[in-house]
Amino acid sequence: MNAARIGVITFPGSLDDRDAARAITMAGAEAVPLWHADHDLRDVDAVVLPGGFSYGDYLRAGALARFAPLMTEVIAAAGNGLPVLGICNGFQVLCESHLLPGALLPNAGLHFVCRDQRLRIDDAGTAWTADYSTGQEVVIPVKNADGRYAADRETLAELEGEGRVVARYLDLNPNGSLNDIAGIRNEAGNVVGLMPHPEHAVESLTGPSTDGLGFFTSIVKGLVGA
Amino acid sequence: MSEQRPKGSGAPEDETSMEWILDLKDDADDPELHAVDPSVTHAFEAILDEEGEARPAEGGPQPAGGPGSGPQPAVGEDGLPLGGATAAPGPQPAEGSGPQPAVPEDDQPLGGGFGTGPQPAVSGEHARGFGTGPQQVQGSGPQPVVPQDDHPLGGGFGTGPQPAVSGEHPGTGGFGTGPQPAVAFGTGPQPVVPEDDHPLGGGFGTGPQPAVGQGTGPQPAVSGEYPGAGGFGTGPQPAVGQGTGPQPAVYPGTGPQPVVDAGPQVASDEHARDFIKALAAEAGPGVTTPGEVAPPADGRHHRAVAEPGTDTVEVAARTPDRPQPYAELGMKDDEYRRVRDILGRRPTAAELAIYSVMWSEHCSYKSSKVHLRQFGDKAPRTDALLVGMGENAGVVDVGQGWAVTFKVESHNHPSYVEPYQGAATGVGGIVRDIMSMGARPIAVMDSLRFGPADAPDTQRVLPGVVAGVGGYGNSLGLPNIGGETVFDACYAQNPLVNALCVGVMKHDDIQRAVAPGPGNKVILFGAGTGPDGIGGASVLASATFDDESQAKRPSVQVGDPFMEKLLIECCLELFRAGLVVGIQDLGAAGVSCATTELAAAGTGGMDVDLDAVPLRDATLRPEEILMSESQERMMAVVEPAKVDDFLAICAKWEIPATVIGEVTDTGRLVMTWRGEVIVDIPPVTAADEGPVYERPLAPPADLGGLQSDTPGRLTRPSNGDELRRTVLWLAGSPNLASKTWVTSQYDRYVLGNTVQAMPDDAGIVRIDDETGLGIALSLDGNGRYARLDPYAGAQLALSEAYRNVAATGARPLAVTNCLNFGSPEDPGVMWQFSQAVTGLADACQYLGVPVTGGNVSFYNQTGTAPINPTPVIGVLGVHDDVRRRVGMAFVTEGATLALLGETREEFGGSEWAHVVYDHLGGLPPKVDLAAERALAGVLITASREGLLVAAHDLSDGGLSQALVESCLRGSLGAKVTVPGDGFVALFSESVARCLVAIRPGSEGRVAALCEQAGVPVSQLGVTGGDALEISGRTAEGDQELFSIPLAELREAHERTLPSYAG
Amino acid sequence: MARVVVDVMLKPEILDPQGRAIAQKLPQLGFDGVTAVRQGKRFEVEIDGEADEAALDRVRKIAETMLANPVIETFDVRVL
Repeated sequence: MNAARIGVITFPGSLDDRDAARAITMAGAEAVPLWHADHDLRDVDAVVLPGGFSYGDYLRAGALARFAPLMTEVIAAAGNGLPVLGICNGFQVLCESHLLPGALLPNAGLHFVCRDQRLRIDDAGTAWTADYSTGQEVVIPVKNADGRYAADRETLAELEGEGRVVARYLDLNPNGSLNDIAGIRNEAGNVVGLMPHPEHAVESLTGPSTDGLGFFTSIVKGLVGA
Repeated sequence: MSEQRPKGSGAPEDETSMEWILDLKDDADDPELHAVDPSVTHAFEAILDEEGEARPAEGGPQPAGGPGSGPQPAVGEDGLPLGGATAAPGPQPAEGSGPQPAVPEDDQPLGGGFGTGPQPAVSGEHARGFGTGPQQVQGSGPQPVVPQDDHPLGGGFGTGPQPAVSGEHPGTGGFGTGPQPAVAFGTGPQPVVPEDDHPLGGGFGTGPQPAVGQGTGPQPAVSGEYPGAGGFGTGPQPAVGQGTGPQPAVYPGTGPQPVVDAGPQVASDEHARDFIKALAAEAGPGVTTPGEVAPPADGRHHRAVAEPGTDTVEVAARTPDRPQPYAELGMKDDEYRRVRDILGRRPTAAELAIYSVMWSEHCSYKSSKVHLRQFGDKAPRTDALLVGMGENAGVVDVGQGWAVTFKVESHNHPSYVEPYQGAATGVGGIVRDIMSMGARPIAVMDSLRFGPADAPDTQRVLPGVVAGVGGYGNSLGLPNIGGETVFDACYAQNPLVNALCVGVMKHDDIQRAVAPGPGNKVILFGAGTGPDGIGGASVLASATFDDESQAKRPSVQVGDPFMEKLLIECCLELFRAGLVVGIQDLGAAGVSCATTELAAAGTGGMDVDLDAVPLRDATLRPEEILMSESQERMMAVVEPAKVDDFLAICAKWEIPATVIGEVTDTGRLVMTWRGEVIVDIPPVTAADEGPVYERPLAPPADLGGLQSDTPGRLTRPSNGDELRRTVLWLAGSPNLASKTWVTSQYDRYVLGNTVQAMPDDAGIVRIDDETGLGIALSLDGNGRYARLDPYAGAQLALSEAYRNVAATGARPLAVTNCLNFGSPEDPGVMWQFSQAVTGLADACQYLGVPVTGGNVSFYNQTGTAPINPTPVIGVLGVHDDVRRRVGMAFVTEGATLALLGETREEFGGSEWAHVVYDHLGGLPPKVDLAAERALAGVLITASREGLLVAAHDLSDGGLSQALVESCLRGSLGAKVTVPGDGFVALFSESVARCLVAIRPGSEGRVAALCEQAGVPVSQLGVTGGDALEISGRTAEGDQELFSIPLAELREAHERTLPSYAG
Repeated sequence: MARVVVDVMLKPEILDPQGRAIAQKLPQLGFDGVTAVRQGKRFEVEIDGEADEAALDRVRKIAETMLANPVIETFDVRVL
């Protein structure tokens, strides 16, 4: 049985690509490095858009990375059901590409915030969250300056109505996201955007918990099982 | 304190056009303008002998401190502009004019940024916008004088806008103080400008002219701390509008006109441009994109008037008597003469620029070198040191084939002027130092010192600094693993921003800043070169501008962390591919420093074509190119056959790279411009043979009195209630309170190897996933201790950092230091410096941890009051396996608590005396290096054997604070009984002590270890519960003194900083 | 050569904490009578040739594709 192959895209300025790769490896899959300027997804089974400051967050976070050559392939593949996980900056890129609705704005407190954040997994039905149970509470770091999720009323109603909010902040909303939204999915459920960083909660030595590993084991199990 | 007087030196016959300079000689009669006259020792032989020791690159290339302002408006002895201008000194923005600060809401921690004054263009998108830009002190106009490191004036020769200058600081209001208020048409000094191609350029005093129009406001100069930042009379220059104030003549060298809105230099973005091009192709012509070499920011075309001839070597040889503005550039008469002797002729303008900056305090360490030699002389022998002082950063062997390089550097003055960018570029600079050693940077730390927490100016500076450290470090993907935030009135106008970076590599990967091999190519890569920080170089430039065109020179360097992130990845790939023979980062003095140092360290010669330097601003003159301190640039030496591969990798990362020269074996650094030779010097004379001063030293006059004023007379808490109140008071005081407000703005997780970060004793980073090899780092200082006794104070700071590292179970290996002091011309300060360096060298020798590199920051003072001497010490230790590290949190119920070490009654310089009485006096705690070593041995062994569940060393605030922190960190209380005098037990700050929570069952083993090592150990109590309960041991038995529920303790500890942030 | 300015503002319904922070500080500095401040971005786009309708259309397209995020921002285009 071949290991699942999960791509991690490196844009200029991506920072958490290596950590995402590490988490993928820990989950038992092969992490495949993908270069933003290529037009080749290298046949991966799933793609992760990692955290960081692609293009320095110039113009808007994710606004320039969204036009990277490889994004053409990502958008097409996502349309065909390829599982895609956007973490932090990756979430921003997904919104800018309109693979996910809404947008991420500067934190309401106007500071970069790094904290160990309690979250609730509200949708354990996606390819990326299958290893969690609905309502499960986890602790995963958030660390960003532009994490405030915003969308218009209709979009919010749609997201809530269709159960497309994947994760929510508990105890304290670190950035003013509407409805305490920490992560959402698309209609089809294969594309998930998440502000917190599960790849930094995979080892108790270096993170606040190992609660983040589930995002990666979920996809591996889903792929390998298929 | 003015040593700098423009001399019509060397050219008395020129005085007809320099009449106003004669008036300036009246300054000589002003006693307050007299500098302490240092005896200058030309110890050339000694310098050559000390090869490899106290090199200027001890701190790596240091930013040009360059005093030497650009042309300055002539100012009389009373500090007012000549010419009868009666306007208030310093530019005063008209009511409502000047860029107005974006200001925060009261209830927002950062809001829009406290007192953010006029913004040098910074993207509004980011929090970068906050607290940036010249800060408008409440109700005042221009910003306070920013002293330069090596400037005798201290108060900043030719620095930017000056605050209303009181008579108290004549130096600051003195000669050539930057922008003078223009309050009406044609007021203020009208600079006389020679019309020929005088190398003086615009002549003295034509400095920056403030425009007092709407929306301009003076921009603060940037100090000499950082590359020429403000060094050369940069007062930032608001646009020089028509007829507002003194107008720079349109003649050569009208002084630097800094851009007000340079904005962040956006790295060229190929994809964005490709997209736009594609769009344009599809949509039709007519849309262009900004090119790399952008026209000056105001978007207008700048018609340069025909340039006078360049000052070439040939011209210099035949015009030996041409007066040169070396004084403005901070050179003394004898130093200038020495340059002439070295060259056998007068230097060209470009050569003068090079020598002036390479021989400045900041680059040459001329005041400190004689003392810093001790770090080499007394260096303990250790096998761990792979690269010692003298390189960009020291390199230490940590085992398993891994090497670690680390260093701390200051960026104090720029952070006062422009907190965000000052701090950001400080981080950028130190990261590049680490990169140039061949390492991948893996973590940063920051040690910050501000004035009182509730002072308005602190509220202006602190948020910007923190946002800048975070903004730059986070964008680079470097976890911030620790540091300090300290408040004290002495730093009120002199905040300290010391940034540390640590990197790792395999032994084989160590790179050097050398240029060996004639025929090898010299490549400049990274961001384009612009007018950042050139200031005084324009004194020499002969560019001319007409009324419409002002080349605005940004005096505030704006960092681009995105470019630096690309640079990191690019460099690592270049190193991996073996394409680099030698490498140097460009920091202070930019190209001047990199070329002279690379050449001096290699085969000694280099040919450089300055025309090849990629420019952001095409109007730059060669002198300006040489002095530019544009960020995010590196210089490499590459074999000819490998140049194509080198350039290809740079292209992949979209980093501009250009071959600008070649290594030679001529022993000369030769630079051409437009085909003519404008520099021809022996590089070693600039890089390694700077002046060496032996400045006079004498203990400060008030020291005796200070030491006699012991804290013994202060009334102490005498019962349980009072003790309880004191515990809470201290725990909530700014220095001891929770720093989460600061540290939560730093990413601690990126790279996935951070095992420990603030508020733990030391930051710990894993290096090897397999073996668990890792490093621990602590950065500590104590200005109060050093003020009372600088020798002991330095040793105490080292002891604390050493102890912090050992408390986690790591073995201390090496030391870096950032020495923050006042003016070296003050014998008291110089005495403090020499004492501190001696103390540190002696202690490092004793403890067996060598100093591998560091940084000196002088001139941290306003007027005559220096900051407390503040040596900040970083200690690096190694964990063979980070999984065995010991944290500080109480997490295990029922663990025995013990105190290792001896407690004496010592309160001199203590937090208690400071917080409760604002008292500073007596002597600091007695140093005991033997005890520190013994304690460290016990802690390291205990961690290896897994005997401890927690360890937290004692320092500021004594046992009380250690207990508070460990309880809160683990959310678990403790029941403790203290022997003897409860007050002494809780608040004394004796050295060599550590609080430990022992793994149940290991008590005996711990006791045995302590006995073997001669470390006193006493049982304190046990962990558990949800309160901190302290009892006193009396003859009648234990008696409870007080109990504080953790919730109350937490509230007191955590509310302080957020309350100041508003 | 012409310069076209694109002003980008957050949609009115989007919370603007930066603008709010500014507005709240003004009274402290003695500036009364300011009820609200909203912060936006301004782009200056230099184009070849004249700023005729066709050119402005191209700039509008640039604005909506890149300079503004239509999900949360609106923009205005005008010739300088």
